Amino acid sequence: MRYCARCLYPENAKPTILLDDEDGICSGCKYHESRQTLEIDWDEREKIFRQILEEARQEAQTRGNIYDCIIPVSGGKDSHYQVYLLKEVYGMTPLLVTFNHIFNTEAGIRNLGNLVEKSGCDLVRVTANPRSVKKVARFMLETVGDLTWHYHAGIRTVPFQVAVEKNIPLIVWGEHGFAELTGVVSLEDFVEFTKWTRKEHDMRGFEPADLVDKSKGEITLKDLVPYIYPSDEAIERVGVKGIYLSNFFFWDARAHAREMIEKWGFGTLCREKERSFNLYSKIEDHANAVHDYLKYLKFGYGRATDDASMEIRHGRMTREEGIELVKRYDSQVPETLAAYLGFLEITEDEFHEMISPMRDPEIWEKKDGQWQVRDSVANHATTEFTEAARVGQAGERTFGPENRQLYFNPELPPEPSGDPAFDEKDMKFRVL
Amino acid sequence: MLKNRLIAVILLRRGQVVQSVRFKHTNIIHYDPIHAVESFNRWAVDEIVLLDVTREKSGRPLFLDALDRISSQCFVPLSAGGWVADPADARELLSHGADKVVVNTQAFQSPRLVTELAGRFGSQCVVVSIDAVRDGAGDWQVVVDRGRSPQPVSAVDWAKRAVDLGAGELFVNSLEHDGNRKGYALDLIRAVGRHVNAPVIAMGGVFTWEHLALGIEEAGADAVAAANIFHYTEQSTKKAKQYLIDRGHGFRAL
Repeated sequence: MRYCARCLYPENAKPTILLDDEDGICSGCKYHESRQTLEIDWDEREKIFRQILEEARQEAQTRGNIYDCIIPVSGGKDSHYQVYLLKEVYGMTPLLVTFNHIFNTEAGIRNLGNLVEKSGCDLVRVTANPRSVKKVARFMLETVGDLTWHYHAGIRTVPFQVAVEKNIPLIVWGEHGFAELTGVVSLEDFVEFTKWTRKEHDMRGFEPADLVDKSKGEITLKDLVPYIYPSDEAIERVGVKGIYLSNFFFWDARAHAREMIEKWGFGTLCREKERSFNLYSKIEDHANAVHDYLKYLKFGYGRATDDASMEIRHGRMTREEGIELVKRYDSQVPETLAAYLGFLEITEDEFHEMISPMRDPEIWEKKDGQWQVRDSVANHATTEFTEAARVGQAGERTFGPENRQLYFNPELPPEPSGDPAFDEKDMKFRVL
Repeated sequence: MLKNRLIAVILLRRGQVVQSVRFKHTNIIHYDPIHAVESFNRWAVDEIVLLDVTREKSGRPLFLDALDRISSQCFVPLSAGGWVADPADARELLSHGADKVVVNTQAFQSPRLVTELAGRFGSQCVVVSIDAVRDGAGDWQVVVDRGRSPQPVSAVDWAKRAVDLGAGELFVNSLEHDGNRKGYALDLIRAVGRHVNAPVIAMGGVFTWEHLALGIEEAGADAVAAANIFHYTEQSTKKAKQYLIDRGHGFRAL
């Protein structure tokens, strides 16, 4: 396997990554770097953003709407910041929309409540019924090795359903997540939300009708209501468009998290999380550890690779330090696996049986009946490209004392918050 | 009357859609090109050009697989090219569902290929792709081998010869404009168009719908093509076409 010479991503990273043949650096690192090196006039972009908001306000007036835009929220750090920015800084009247995928952590429930209270915005929350979720999650686990397909489908669909229903044309997303991780698009192209990104990347190429077909009717459209995208005609009639804030502002998720902790009391985990060291992202999402473990079983890398790569790009961690974290976390079996297998009514053996054919042969091989990893970034600590690819180190370190509450450091664990939602291990998900 | 055409170009590297900047691949846009074709079909594009830009010929089975799947869903004329060295390669693309074949480096290196293809399949089936780069004196010269090998031949001269040999259309791009978001190499396209009696397709550098319009207005292109830009907004080709129609150009109605 080839690995990025700067960060830790393998060449089979999802959804798509490209390693430059000339310097060995991946498209995700290049995207990250482009925010500094490109001659982007952020003031100009902010003006364009203001213009878009101004048009949205006028449009709302013309249509007789109270709400002038929709912000899809999960309750996480990005949601907090998006809402803060639109409401407090730009004076918009957003309607918040949450797709409740039902696999909620206590921390997530608490943070979503916090967001609604602190922002003073109205929230529409669409909850998928657990019986249908169980069918869909089980089917997609069997089919593509993903038990959270419904999350991504719902998160990318429900805001559009609400937009059409309430005649609100503007949807404001936060960062372009896939650009941030593996650089699927560039900052120069001003990418907007497209239905194909939703289908191809978020929904793995499956629309609800495909699930009905492929499950031979075991799953019906009644199980799939939150994932049915409005018709092209409806989208055109309302003029729905989705923009990404990360195209208009220099996006720094960690700085935003800090700001939201201070201003609005966004809560972070105060104990070690499963499968990674980051204590402020993906904490509302309870199946994430299992989802991430599946990524490891299929492609040989996990969330610690994602999180450490981000730190390396920011110069807060060296590649060598990152490799140690990958060794510590990426192969870890999550304790929450049992809870989900219980919910889906499958045994651990059946689970591994299902995943076997999905293991990437470039990275996994079966020896004496046991699956073994064929390669790891640890075997590529030094290559012809790694020295030249290094980024300058920042004074701030990932595990420095100022980041005690943001990244788990066993030598300096976070201080407890006093709220069990953040301090105590959480083994069961909550539907509502 | 003949209408202008709006063409979406899809660049495939090992079967995945890539973005190209100066013929260098910067990022993978789609892991499966079928998603791009589904969108473009619905969005009123007139033709699709599919190019295999994989660095080695070994990527061909992946390209053919993509071509199979795309041609079975594509509602508009489909051209395919990349790594076409002889009539057998061309036939292979046609048998996998292409309507026209695009040739570049191999046609330049052995111009007989153009004559052979036109003889067997007809000129309407042969698109000669020409990449150009400015030489020291500021004149457009041919560059082949995916932008790596400049040739001491004027782009206009090669264009004329290609049409004489039987090329039905020319697909004209410039190394400097490819992926640079600043619009077509208008003088190049104008110069080629003025000297040949065959349709010229403008390619390379489109970032706004106005760039497409200028390809017709300033450079006299018969068809305007773009790759990267069409992937990034909803209903992109439809909006582009509406813009061109509103500006008074003749395109197949939406």
